[in-house]
Amino acid sequence: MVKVSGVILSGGRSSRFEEGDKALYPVGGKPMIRRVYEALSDVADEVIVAVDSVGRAERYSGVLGDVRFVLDKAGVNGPVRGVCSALEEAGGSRVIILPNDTPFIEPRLLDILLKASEGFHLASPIHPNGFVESAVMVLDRLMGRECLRMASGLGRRPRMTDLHRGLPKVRLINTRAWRLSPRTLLNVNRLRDLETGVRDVEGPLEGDVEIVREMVGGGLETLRDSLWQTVRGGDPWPEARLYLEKGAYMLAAHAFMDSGSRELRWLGESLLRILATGDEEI
Amino acid sequence: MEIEFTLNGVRKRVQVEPNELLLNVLREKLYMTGTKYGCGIGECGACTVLLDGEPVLSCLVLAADVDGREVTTIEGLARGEELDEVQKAFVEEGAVQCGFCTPGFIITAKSLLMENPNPSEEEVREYIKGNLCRCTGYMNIVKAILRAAGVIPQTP
Repeated sequence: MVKVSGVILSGGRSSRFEEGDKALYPVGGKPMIRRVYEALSDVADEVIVAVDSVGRAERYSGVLGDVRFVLDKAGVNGPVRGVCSALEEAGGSRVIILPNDTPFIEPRLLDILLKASEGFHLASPIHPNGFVESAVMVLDRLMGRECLRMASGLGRRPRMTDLHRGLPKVRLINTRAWRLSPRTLLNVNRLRDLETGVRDVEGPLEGDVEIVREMVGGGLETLRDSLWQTVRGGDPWPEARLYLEKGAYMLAAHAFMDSGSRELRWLGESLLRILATGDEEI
Repeated sequence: MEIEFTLNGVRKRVQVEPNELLLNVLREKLYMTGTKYGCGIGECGACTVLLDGEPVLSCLVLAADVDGREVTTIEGLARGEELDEVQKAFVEEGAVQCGFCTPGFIITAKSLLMENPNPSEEEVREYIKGNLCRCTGYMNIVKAILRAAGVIPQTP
């Protein structure tokens, strides 16, 4: 029986990478996607690879073991496309999601996230500066699917952090508190990301962050201090305050970016740039 | 690209590719084959080395990342013919069978004892849980580490 599904997000175009398709670029003699696959297959009962074309599935199948490919869901924009299609296909009640360009993901991180996700709808790593590694997560499949379905209907491009902001119970595990090497989350967008050393991220956050929101009515849209209230009402403050008090600064930045106020949107984008730990696509 | 780092107390300069791992450079370019290639993805602990005194899995570290830093491998523990206390304890407790996982265990144990010179058995087991042994079982390894810590008396 499939309890935990693993998903590798592979729909990106590697547009910033100088050596072609980065998923196939070797690190330590193995294609990056192969390294992610091996770490994932150690803890997941099945592995699904979300791709944007059949051609890409063919290219990757040669370097991977036993996986299923799913095509990006039509009608959904942005990096959550692959998550949407994979959640439709996944058999597990919990789904580990990883990008294909994190060649140093270690199985220990996945174990920690799986344990941390018990009793929560989502678990992701957070750096001590409040930056959330939002594309790395363990997700409750049904709740995640519902959240993304609703986020796609908000009239803006859905983001990965919509999951962190739109689910009732979210746990963020602190990379420093768990003594995770900063290398484990190294995201390779350009060749120079491999050449420049990885530094510890400085910041005030000591422990894990738990975000627990109350559902006033029956659906996610009634969740207090959440994405749904910010986008519908245009006032980001109740949601942003929750994150600012707990140290999840990146989520506060995203809440500001959904504000009705131009000044707060500017503030959100600026805050996000300050927090970025590397060459992330913001 | 060229990197320069201290390996077991000796400055080394070596040409590496940006996508090369520390593990491969140690074994294939510097011939330090005591550090073992087990799984290559951070699962087994056989490739553990100390980087600036902290244990790291050298299969998850880019060679470029150690430029200007200090690396200690299993070859760097003994002083001449004199084995390190942890190495001696592994010999005395017979904590070795095929020996493949041993360098990783010893480096991990070394790091534990630097952090916590008097660990309990539980603390030892917790600390070494990222190192896998497929033949002896862990009993003698745990005993060896406790012996090195002085918790179990040395053989007279």
